[in-house]
Amino acid sequence: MFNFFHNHGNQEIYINYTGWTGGGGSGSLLAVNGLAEVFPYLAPSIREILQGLTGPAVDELEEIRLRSNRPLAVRLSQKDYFLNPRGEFTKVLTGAHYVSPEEIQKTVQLISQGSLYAFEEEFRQGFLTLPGGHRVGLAGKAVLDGGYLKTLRDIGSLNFRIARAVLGAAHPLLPFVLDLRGLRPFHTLIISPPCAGKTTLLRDLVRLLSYGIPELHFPALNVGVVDERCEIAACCGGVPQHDLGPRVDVLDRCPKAVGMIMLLRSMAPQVIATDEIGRAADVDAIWEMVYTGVSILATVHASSWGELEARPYLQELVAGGVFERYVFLSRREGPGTIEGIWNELRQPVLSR
Amino acid sequence: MWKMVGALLVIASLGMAGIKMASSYSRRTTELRSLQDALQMLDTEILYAATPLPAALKKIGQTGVGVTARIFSTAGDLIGAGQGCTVAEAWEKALVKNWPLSALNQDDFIILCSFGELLGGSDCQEQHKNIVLTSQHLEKEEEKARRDQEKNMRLWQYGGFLLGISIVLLLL
Repeated sequence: MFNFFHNHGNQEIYINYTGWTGGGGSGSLLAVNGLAEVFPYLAPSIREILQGLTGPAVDELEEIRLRSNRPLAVRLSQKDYFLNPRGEFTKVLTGAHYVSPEEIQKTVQLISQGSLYAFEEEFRQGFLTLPGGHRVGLAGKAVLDGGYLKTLRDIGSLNFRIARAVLGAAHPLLPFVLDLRGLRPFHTLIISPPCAGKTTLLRDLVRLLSYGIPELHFPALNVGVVDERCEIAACCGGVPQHDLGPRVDVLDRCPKAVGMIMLLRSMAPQVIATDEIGRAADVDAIWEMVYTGVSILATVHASSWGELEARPYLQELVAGGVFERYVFLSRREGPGTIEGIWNELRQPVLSR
Repeated sequence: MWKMVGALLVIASLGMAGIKMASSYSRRTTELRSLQDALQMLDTEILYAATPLPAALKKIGQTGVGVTARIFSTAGDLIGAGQGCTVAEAWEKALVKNWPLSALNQDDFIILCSFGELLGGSDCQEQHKNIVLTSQHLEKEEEKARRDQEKNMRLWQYGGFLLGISIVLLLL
């Protein structure tokens, strides 16, 4: 584990290079019990089985998977297990609890409050958000209408993903992504492969900006969040389920390109944050916003400069020098490992 | 003297029984009407507000009165309780629980049960169709109930007293 103190003015800022969960458990702050929050949405018989999970297993729980006529599975710290009817881990199929179609049906009933009509859009998109910010992924039979996905029927698989905000995840980034003279964040692109914590990082960055950062004498800013995948704020009934601070406006489930322009006009944000850009429309919207005085924070799936530039629309943004900071993440030492930060001229501001 | 009191008691009790029978005819008509009104509200909640069932049913239960309102709020509570019972089960339980209080008959029960089977399980348009169809059935029942009411209400209202009087005359 390798840490050092970075001098910034009179402030000493603690930099932790390792991931949030890797390296001696230095970062992860698990305040809420996610399992307890998803409990009421599981079929009663599944609840009984999961009741057997205790202690660290509850803290580390990442996913609960229900598949019709297949074993009940959970994922803890990147490892998959099946559960037997007593709630004990097993690696073998025999003895595992097989999820019945009725259990799936009851669970669907519970997550939708028995009101499929109220969650049409959620079913079309294949996931819904529960209070607490936890997400349920759905798979089943697609119903098409004129070639477009109309809804899902006969749900066969459910994946409960326990949400965990890591408060303070973006702290090490602050000295590099804030323009302390202009008192604005730089246009920042967070680049990471899947599951390396880009959304967690973005969420915490939004939170810090919206609260303000007194130790850096950085004022609080109004932040607009376009949350197309409901991952940043995880709104449920219009209320962000993650703490994003007092100055955040969220456009939930709104396509990014439309949403960014809309927020810019309607809410006058000083910062706009959005997740997983990459389509032509997103890039057009970003071009439109770069010179309006609003700072852009965005994330993208890639693991190297090469991969980033291989994507046609993103390559255009990189070449145009739109982003002033590029933050590369990996999961080398656990999710959230910062690999390096580059500036608009592709010079390293921080590298390992 | 006691004869007179006895005679009056016989006439009054049979007369009251007749009036109660008569009022059950008019109560059924009123209940069928208010069920249709409640369904109309549910339609609005589903079609325009997409309110989930527990909230929508409870809201209707609060605004309405009588047995209809009770059925809706009981069903709303059962679905919202999160005990994993399906909407159809919850709806049927709510019907069975409140049935003794109502003047509705077997035909009405069947219509309402089949409404419950489809409740919540599809998109807005399908829900709308289900509600409209159920309302039409209930309207037909209401018409029938009204005809029965016209035919039978008078009969029971006066019949009770007349029967009482004739018994008294026979006994005197």
